[in-house]
Amino acid sequence: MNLSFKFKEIEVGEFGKILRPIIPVSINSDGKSIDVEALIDSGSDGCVLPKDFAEVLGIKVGKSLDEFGIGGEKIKAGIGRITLSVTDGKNLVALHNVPVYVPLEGGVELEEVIIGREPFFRDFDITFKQNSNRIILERARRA
Amino acid sequence: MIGMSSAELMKNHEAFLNADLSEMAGKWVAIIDGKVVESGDNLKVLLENAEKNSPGKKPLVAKAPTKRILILSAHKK
Repeated sequence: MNLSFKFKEIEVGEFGKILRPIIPVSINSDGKSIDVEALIDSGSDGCVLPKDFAEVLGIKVGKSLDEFGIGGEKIKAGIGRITLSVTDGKNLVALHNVPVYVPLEGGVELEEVIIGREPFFRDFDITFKQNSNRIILERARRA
Repeated sequence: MIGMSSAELMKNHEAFLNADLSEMAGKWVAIIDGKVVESGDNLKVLLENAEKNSPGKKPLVAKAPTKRILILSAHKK
């Protein structure tokens, strides 16, 4: 099963217009859900939610960890659990019990909801076809 | 996807892809029926306003992109 998306064109700094892999997802916790645009970030080890987003959803966040790096800064973050659903309008996949990091300190402003490698890249083989403006998520069979 | 059809979600996603959100850079935005209907710094207030002004409609929310370059895997010495 494949899901297919376009990139979001964004104008940034010296680069001018770039294509960023942002896809719509539904994040569910404890009976509440929010549909949100999220960045697929192969450089992040895990998923990250802004603190205000986690609070609105009522995600239970565990005690803080010190060894969490974001944007080069070491900050305190907690871990919560969500159900992450993704659809391209044709196919729908829901991933349950997904761990998410939530920065707990002030001064950290996330540009996006971040979908990192664990566990998303275990559940999908992801191809970034920037030159044909396609992001392909292929449902993976875990080894 | 609780309370929202995939068709609605993709319509709102398409609007996000095509919208010029530069005036709202860094803020949360809410998209309903293919249009940006709310923006602001406070996500909770944004969702409350969206519900008040468009009852029964589930918004797609997003952070309006900024012009900042994202480079995540670096750290200060």
